Amino acid sequence: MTTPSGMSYEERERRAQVIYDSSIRHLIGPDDTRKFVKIDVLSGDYEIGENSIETGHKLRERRPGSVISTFQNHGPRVIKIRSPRRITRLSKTQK
Amino acid sequence: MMHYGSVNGDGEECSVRLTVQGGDGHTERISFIIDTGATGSMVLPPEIVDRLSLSPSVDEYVQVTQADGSSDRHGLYVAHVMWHGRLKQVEVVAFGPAPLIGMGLLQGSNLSVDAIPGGLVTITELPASS
Repeated sequence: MTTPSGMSYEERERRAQVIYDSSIRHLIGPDDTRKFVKIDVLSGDYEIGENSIETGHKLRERRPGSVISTFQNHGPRVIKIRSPRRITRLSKTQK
Repeated sequence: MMHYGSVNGDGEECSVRLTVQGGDGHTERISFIIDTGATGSMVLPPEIVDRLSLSPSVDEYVQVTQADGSSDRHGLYVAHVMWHGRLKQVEVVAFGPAPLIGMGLLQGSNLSVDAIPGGLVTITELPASS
């Protein structure tokens, strides 16, 4: 899986982690861990905000062509889904 | 403005029908399972994402974990959903066979469930100060 720039997801996250640890981590206080941190892994520029879509658009407007990774709670963003039973049942019936 | 849904016949899940606007402006009424353990706003099967011509989000992919511990990357898109009488921009994970809404969309709302087969589900907007 790659970004449109051809960069792999793993490489994007590796670069973002380096930028986050060196330039951003110290800016995120205990009350800010749910904020979205959008990082352009090409320039090192970043944007922090409470709305993921708006924060991403701000960074993209400032950095056209950016390759953006999202961090949250001091790591790459993860979305959790808790309804696998339904998904499993539907998958079985669709086979 | 209130959204009304229902508990399914076996009493195991609750769902609500919402209007989603695609990238080309056309809309679809879609039935969503309400997943209060989901941290994102919305999950749609990839074929519905394609049908709605949704635009990719700026970060394109997101890591998704399920309750069984499995984890994988899936495409992340942007859609508009009619929510409490207004069009709201939300992120959509392209994944699985079942449309879901999660706590990201429910933020600022009251969710009430009559947890019996066929029970009533209501989603009410809370005052902004709540």
